[in-house]
Amino acid sequence: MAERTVIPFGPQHPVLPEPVHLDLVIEDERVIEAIPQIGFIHRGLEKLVQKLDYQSFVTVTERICGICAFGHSLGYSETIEVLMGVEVPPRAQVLRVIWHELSRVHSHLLWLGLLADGFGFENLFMQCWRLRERVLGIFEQTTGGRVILNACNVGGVNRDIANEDLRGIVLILDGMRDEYQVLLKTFLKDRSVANRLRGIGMLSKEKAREYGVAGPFARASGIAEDIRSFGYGGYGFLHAFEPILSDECDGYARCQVRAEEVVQSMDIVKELVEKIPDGALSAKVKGSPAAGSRAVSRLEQPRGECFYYAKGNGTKYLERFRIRTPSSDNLAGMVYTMQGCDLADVPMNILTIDPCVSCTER
Amino acid sequence: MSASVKSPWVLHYDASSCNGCDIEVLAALTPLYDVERFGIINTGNPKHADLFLITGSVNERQVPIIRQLYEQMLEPKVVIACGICACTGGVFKECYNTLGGVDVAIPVDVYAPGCAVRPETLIDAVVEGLGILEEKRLLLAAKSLKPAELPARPSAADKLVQGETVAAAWQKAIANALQTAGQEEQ
Amino acid sequence: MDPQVFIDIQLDELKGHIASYHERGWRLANLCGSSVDDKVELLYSFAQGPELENLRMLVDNGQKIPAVSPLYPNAFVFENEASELYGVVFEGGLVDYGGRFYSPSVPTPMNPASLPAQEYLASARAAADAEDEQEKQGAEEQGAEEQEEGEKEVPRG
Repeated sequence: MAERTVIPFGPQHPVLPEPVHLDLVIEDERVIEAIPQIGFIHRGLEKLVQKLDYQSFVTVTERICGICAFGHSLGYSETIEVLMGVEVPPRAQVLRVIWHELSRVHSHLLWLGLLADGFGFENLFMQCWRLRERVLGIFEQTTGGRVILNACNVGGVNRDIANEDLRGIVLILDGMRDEYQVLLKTFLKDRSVANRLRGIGMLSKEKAREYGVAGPFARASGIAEDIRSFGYGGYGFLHAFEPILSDECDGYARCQVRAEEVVQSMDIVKELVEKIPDGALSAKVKGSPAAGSRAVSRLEQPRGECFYYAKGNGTKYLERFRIRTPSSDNLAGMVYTMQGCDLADVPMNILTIDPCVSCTER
Repeated sequence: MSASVKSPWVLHYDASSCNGCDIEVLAALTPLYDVERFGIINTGNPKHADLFLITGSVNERQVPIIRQLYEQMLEPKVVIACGICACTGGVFKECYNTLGGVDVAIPVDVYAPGCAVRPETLIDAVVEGLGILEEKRLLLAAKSLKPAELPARPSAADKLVQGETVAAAWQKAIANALQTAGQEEQ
Repeated sequence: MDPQVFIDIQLDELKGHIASYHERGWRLANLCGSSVDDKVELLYSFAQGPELENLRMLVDNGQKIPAVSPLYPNAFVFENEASELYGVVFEGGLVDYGGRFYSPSVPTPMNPASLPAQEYLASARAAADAEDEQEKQGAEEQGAEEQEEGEKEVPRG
């Protein structure tokens, strides 16, 4: 039997911009066990609800994670709206979904780029990030921010997008779509991509269920779970929604699911722009959450299902706010897929799961 | 700075940022802003890097890691705090697990504010950092001089007197001083 | 939005409930704590498709709770988190980091009434008292002869 060695991975590692540490127990070149160590980004954000009132806290939720910034403000606002029984005007609901789906396009393009960088396809990386800048351009035009949008608040949205601007967004997306097809073809048809990703980090459907993984990680293992398909909020305006699935269960399948979700999100934005109703942007929110009131809500973030829980205590400060992010759900699955993989595949394995450490630790 | 300067290599580390500034650091390197065309390369190895771009506030667990990365970088080196969290702690300053900005762990040369920091701000900060890097390099070269022999740093007011920048003027002064010191020894 | 179902349970019913959800193929969506006066409230959320049910349980500080991570491996993150932020003690968990998961600077920051937090407070107070005592003694011993150049700097981190 070969000797066992422990190789430290991270917290500073070129593959991941975020600090996460793994102790890789290896035998020859094979990983026997991976022990994650986190806590490098833990800030203790959830306790800030006791210092900031429930309306100001939206700004903090956006800073939980800079990649899914809009999503977190949306999830928080929805939870507080349930807690206080606020009815959000339909136009605001649709605008929220438009921004959220654009965030998904930007997040997935970012990830596809990082993946390409991870397997050494520099050109593809740059092309993905070049396309992504167009989405950031839309954000900048509509909200003024590239990363932190500050567009969502409890009760509705902070700003409108005029109908002609919405049609302009569709035109930009249509332009992107043609260029994206070329990238999509490279990701799905190019031999070098398939060779690097096929068979990496296998997670069968049964194991995916057992480990409770979420988002594209689960959908690539054939689990048809997507919160968007339940038609919450603005998603109710959609004619139909079918989650994108794959039953290949490996890193390549995860790449495929995310790559196709970009097109799906563009379609959603296009459909909603045609259907967007006129009307108010925000409902009046008065008073404070009642003492002992509780609310839960879920939202499909780019990385999977995100769970929010809020508890009121009769003042304008919340008693407790909890975010269970998709990446913390996927951590157990990630550790599982790492067992038995080659040391050289570890970076690819981590990347295909797309962990967001900042979300996980808050 | 003179008309041509060396292209710095940068080391990027996320202290405990929300990713917002990290993706902007990367966005500055990739198309649209594309500073890579000037030969500025994001390296994973601290020993190759001249500039240390660090994002996010710092918690107790990060301090030894940041110090280690800083110590592994070779002199001269410049630290740039990217984003308001790295400058002061930002929105997370009040959190129980946040110590504050990057300067609680290592000395910072340039502060680039913003939430998230914009790529334009970052590019400005890097240009500012290049000037500091040059001055640090000069001081390193002048290490053999006695304190009395070290020429004073020219002030910014007369920096364009002969169409030169502060660093260029200082460089000349130091070179002269080194030459005189060398002659005296002989 | 998600159905708001909150079921109050007792500690001895927990195992049965969790086994039943697991048998029916529900997934664990969340596990988190929150402090209620001198107790901790644990919330277990289970989901299947659009359905969502939350179990609410009040436990004393320091009480031992059977872990769910053997059945739901993804819970190991939540359990370590709850034990570090709230001082909840889980028994039989999959991986126990023993307080070095997030390694917060302050023990159980979200629940100042927990035992580790109180121990920490007591020890911090004792240390501060001891320091005061030492300073006093030092001042008496040295008297007015000479003053130290200044307080020694305490290294950080």
